[in-house]
Order: sequence, then C-alpha cells, then structure tokens
Amino acid sequence: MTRSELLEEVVACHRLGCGLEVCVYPKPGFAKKYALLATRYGSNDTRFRVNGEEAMTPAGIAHFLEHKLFEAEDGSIDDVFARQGAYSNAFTNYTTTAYLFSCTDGFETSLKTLVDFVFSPRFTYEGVEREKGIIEQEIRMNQDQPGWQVVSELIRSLFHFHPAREDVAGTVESVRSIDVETLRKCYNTFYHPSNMTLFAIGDISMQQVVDLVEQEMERFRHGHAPVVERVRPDEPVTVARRQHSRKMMVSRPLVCMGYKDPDVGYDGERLARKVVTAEVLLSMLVGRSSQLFSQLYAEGIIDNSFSWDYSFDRDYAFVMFDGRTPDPQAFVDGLTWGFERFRTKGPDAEALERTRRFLMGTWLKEFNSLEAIAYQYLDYHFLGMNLFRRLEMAAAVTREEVMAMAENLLIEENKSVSMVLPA
Amino acid sequence: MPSGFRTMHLSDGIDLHILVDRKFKTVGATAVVHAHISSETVTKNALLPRVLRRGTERIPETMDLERRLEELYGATLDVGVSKKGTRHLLAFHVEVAEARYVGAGSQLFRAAVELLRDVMLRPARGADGALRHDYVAQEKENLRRLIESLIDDKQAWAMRRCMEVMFPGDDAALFKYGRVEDIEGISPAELSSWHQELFGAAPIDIFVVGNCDEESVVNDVGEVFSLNRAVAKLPPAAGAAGTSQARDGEKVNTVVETMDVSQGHLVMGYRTGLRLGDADWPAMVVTDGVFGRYSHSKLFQVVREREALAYSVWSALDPTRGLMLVSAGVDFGAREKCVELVEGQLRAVKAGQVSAEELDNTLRGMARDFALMSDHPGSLVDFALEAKVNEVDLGVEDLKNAVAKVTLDGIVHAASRARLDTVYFLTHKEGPASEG
Repeated sequence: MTRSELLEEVVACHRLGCGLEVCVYPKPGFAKKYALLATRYGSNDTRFRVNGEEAMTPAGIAHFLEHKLFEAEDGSIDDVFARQGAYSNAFTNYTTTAYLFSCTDGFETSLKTLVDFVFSPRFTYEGVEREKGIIEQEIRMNQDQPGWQVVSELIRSLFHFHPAREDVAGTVESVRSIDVETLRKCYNTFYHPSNMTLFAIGDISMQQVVDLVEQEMERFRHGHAPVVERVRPDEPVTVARRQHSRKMMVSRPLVCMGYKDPDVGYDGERLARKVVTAEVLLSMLVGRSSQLFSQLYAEGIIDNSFSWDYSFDRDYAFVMFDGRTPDPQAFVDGLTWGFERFRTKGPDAEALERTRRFLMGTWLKEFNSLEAIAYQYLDYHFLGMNLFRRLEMAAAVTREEVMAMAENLLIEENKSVSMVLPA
Repeated sequence: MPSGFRTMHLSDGIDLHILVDRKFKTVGATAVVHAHISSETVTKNALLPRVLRRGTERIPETMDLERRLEELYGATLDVGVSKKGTRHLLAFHVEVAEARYVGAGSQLFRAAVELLRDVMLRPARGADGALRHDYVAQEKENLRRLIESLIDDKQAWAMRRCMEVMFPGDDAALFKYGRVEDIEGISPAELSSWHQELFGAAPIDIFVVGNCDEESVVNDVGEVFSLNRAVAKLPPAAGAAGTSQARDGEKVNTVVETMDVSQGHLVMGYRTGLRLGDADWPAMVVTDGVFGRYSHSKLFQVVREREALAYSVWSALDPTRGLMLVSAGVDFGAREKCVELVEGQLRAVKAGQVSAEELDNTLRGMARDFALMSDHPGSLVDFALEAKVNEVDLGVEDLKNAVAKVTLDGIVHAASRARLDTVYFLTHKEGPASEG
C-alpha cells in the first residue's frame, strides 16, 4: 500500500497466485471508473532471450500484437465494450502495451471482458494478413505528417543503434515480415501474467477488484513464467548525426532540436529525481515565464507551437525542443545561446522557488483526472518510481542539481537538429 | 454526487454560484461577462479577453504575469469567448491548487481571485490611458490568424455557413470570433471605451467549483468583486431564431457551395421550436440521442455502418435557438442520397420505429453522460450557464431525472416538431481533372 499523506491519495498493489499484479487506486466521489491492463512489452523489445534462446523479431511487432488482440470473433472489441456502455482503447509505446476501458456503470462486467480478451489470443493466417494492410495505412499516414517526421528523424539522429530509432508501428517492410508463429512467440514471452499489471481507478474497492480478477484468471492456464532477458545493443554516448533536413509540403519550417542525455542506466528513485530535475531545469530555461521564451517570442522566432519534452527510460533519455519558425537557424542559435547563458549565469533563487511551485501546482492538477493518473502511475510504476513523491521532489530540487544537469545535458556534443523545410 | 450550484447575489448584476466538491485537488473560478451579440461589437468582444490576458495595472508585463501565476503554485489563467443564441459570453477562468496540498498559505484562492478581477477590470494601460497599444496590435494579429486558420476545419465551417444561410442577416448567426474585416479598424482607444462600457453594465456570473470552503469563497469573491454598477437587462438569448415558427409547408432551402475540400460536408438544419426549459425538452434530448448522438444511434448505424455513405455522421441540439443539426462527411456525389437517408431515419423516429434496445441504449448513454459531468467542472459550469442564459431554473439532476422518464410516446411527440429548414453542402470545385 502506497499512501501520500500530503496528497491524501492511496494506491494498493497485490500479486495474484498466477503472477498478475493488481493495483487499485480508490477515488471516492468520481463517477468514472477506469481500468487498464498493461504488459511490460513495447516497440523497443524486438530482441530478447527467452529460456536461453535468442530471438530477433521484426520492428513494430508489439503494436501489431496489440491490433490483433483487440479483435473479437465478430468484429472489434470496441463493440463488445460499447454494448456494455463502456469506452475502450489500446496503445503501444516504446516500453508498454496497454488495453483499457472506462465506464460509469457495469464496471465488473467490463473488467471481465478486458481480462478475457487480453488472455484469449486468436491468431489466424487470414487475420494477420488483413491486419498488415491496415497497419501499412497507419504507417503511411504517419509518414505524411510533418510534425511526426521531424521528431522521428531527430530520434534517428540521436541514436546509433538503440531500438527507439524504429517507429512504434515499424516499417512497411518489417510489418510485412510478421507471421502467426512470431506473434505467438512474442505473446507467450511477454503476455505471461507475471509480466503484467492490471490498474483500476475510480470509486471502487481493492477487495472487489482483486476477487473478481482472481476468479476470472482461474479460467486461464498459465505455466511457469518464462525467463526473459531483453537484449539491447551497446549505444555510444555520442549522437549518430548532427543534422538532418527534408522537404515536405509545409507553409513554414518545423524544427526539432534535441540533446541526448549521457546520464542513463538506472531506474527507481534516482531516475525519478533526475526526471524532476529535468522538468525544473527546462521549465526555468524555456517555460512561458522565462526570459528566453519571452525574447524569442517577441522576435517572432518561436510562437505558440513551441514545446519541449524530456523522454526517458532506464537505458536512454533525451530532451527535445520543437516548433514552427520562419527562421530555423535563428531558432537553433537563439536556444543554443540561451542555454549557454544559463550555464554560465545560472538561475536566480527567485526563479528556482517559483518554478518549484509551478511544477507542484501543475502536477497536483493531474490528480483531478483519472486518465492522467492511470498513464502517469503506470509509467512511474514500471520504472520503480513513486508518483506520489513527485511534488515533494520538486520542492527539494537544489540549484546544484539543476546546474549539474545543464552542464551535462545541454552541451554541443549531445546536440542534433532535425528540420522539415517547405518544398 | 453534487446536486448543483448554490447561487447568491453579490451586487447588482453579479451572481456567485458555488459548488463545493472535495474530490478535486484544485478550485476554479470562472467569471462570465454577458453581452448581446451584434455586428458592431462581435469582433471587439472576441478581441477584448485576449488583450486583457496580457497584463494588469499592477502587473503590466505579460512575462511578469506568467511569473505571478507560477508563484501562485502554477495557477492557470484562461480566457475565451463562446456564444449561446444571441448571447456572446466572455469567460475568464482561474484554477488554483487547494493550498494544503502544496503547503501554501490560506490566501492562495483569494490571491487568484484578485488576479482574475485585475485582468478583467484593471488592465495594463499605455501613457494615453488606453489599453496598451502593443498588446492590442499583437492580439489583433493573433485573432486574425485564428479566424483565418478556422477555415481548415471544414466541418465547422460548413456548420457556420449553414447557420448564416438559415438566419440571413440575423446577429445570432454571427461567428463567435468576429469578422476579419473588422479587425483592422479597431483602435486601442475604441477598444478601451468598449471595455469600460461593456464591463460597466454587463451581467456577470461567477462560478466557483472544486475543493474549497463555501463561507470563505463567499467572503473572498464578495470582497474582491464588490462593484458598484448599474446593470442593463439583455434581450432574450433565443433572438429572432427562437421566436420564429417552423416554416411549415415551405420548401426546404438547399445551398451548395464550393471550396478546396477533400470530401463533401453536409449540414442539415432542423427547426424544432423546442428549447431548454420547455416541457418537451427532455423528450427532445432523448430523441436526439436515438436519432444521431451516439455510435449506436440510427444515423451512425444506418448512414455509416449499413450504407457506408458517410465517414462521420451525428446530430446535436441547440438548446437556445430550438434547432437540431445534422452533420455528415460524405462523398461529393452522395449528397442527395445522404439527405434522403437522414430524412428517412427521422421519419422512422416520428413513426415510433424505435426498438426497446435502441431506447435502452440511449437512456443508459444519457445517464452515463450526466453522471460524467460531475467529474468535469467545465461541463457543470457550461450547463449552469446554459440555464442562466435561457432564464431557466434547472439543475443537472433535474434534467437527468426528467430524461430517465422519457417514453417512446414522448419521443414521437418531440420528433414530430422537427422540420427540415436548410440543407447546406460544401463540395469541391467541379472541373476537368481537378483530382489530386
């Protein structure tokens, strides 16, 4: 049981006999109920050893598996949930595949449906072939999006070998090479209950959910958990290429500038602290209230499309700054100059305290939304981090930590720039 | 589940509505300024909140205003305009942490409300006493870009055009963001005097929702917003649209326009004459649900799923003007067939051809939608505002209970009120080899 006295929030996790972890987060008074069944398996997990045997699988297979599982005998699982008055969805990212539904009534029925379809795979040759066409469309659609392209190419610039280089959906070619046998192998490797977590949130009780899921899981026979080892290539700390640009049908250039974080290789509390420090640093540097943002905005170099994001996992991390600009070079130079100035001058005490407060309030607001909690909680939980401690950590981040991160992260060697320019 | 807002008069033309719900970690205050929409004022109304958001008398620089919000533990300050019938609504919203969760002093909400008041009533001014020229110029440009970018949303464009066609020359058909051609001519001096005039006499509603103490909210808001004003009463929000009867027996008005679009956008405007507060309104809400609101509704099931004629198709009600609107994205050549299918489905509802399953699914969907509103302060505020604008004393619970009791007879009765008035179709320019 994890409790936050400060936030007055509590979540309890329990491991069933079959190995499935069940986490229940009571939110009294909320009308919505929400459940998510997730496996620690994402697009980065293409290469692995299972019970000593090494496997290389096609890029995009985790996402493909998600599509296939989401199919009922007579159409889509969506319709089954809709008949129960629930809304359903699924997603795959670099590290996780998750299936979810939300409802107000009939939570127990929909929870059973969720467990049943995720643990009852039906792969047929015809179904798999049909899906290839659908996913191919999805991939081609993404490739037409300039905003998607500019980020994809940045990630390919930052990393030499890391699987994050590959898009979550894979490529047209990799998807074509997927077959029933490989899907089964991946399913059996990564969809064992011991690799999965069921997270439920709303006006519900721990016991109610645990009893129901336990009973439902008895219908399935799962053997011993396979011994799985994810194989990752050795990724150098350097960036793969400094710059990439391409031409597309856009009215104004898009720029995405990134810095590869050399400080990686851990999870848990230490990673949580790094992430909070990064948020403090970046909010101070380029947040709406920063000198740098105001200046570049006033000069017309950035506009409201400007945003930044710090992405992280155990074995890689990077920050990116992206937006539309009339002058890509001024965008890159302006930000780079601002970062240099910050590294030499550092933040004043007033800015640090203000930013801590800003982040505390911003993160507090997320506890108003069941979806926001569910997504954040799982991300944090899978990395051994405690979501509740985020506010306290923000309050405790020191000037020294912020400066050390700026010194280590925002330097020329780590930098790469991706641009989409008008054709 | 909260039963509804508690309302009190603060002063002439200012009402405070409070809904305490401790399940939230924050508390939000939304001040809404009511204006009667007209072609002379619509663009100025749209521009005002954006200019006011830039700075106050005490904190004139935008960057410093952002810093003040950060100091207030990441308070957010959002402004916007919306429209209900002929009522143009200027909204100012501040959302702030409940102090104890962030270890702040107890004055956090008070400070946020003071900032809200300053933004609305004590703006940053230039040496000439008018609103800051630089802010006015920049926000004029931003508004122009916003209006021009909205043409990219073709479905919304078609909806607006249908309203203009349906209510020619009526102010109720004006676009909430105003008209591009007005922007150039708005001077800081003119905008300032309109600000004085509007905010000096407009009815203002202040909604407070979230984790708060009712007594201290009444105190804080009462003190901060103690204004001495003489408030004018506004004309009914339904405008000419609400009073004019369905054009029974008249021919349906069909308008086809062209633009560079990748699919056809069809909008069908029905007059129902039923408005929020009418005895038959709950039945009309369920009728719309059976007809086109949900994915299990007739329109989606027949027009999209069975006939594969539309990519999207749905219906919605305008509770202020007494309209039902159908929107569909269809192939360029499919307009007539689609209109016929939609009309056929409405005839079926009018004839009582609604299965027990359809009615049951709809009533369950509506119960869910009403229940979910209690998780979203914004939709509770919008509902209360809808009632206020329509001068109806109706809470979410009241409508929820009334809707749950609607029968098939009620649906047939309500559906019989719907008369097709206008068919608007936005299509591509036909010509040789115009594809690609």
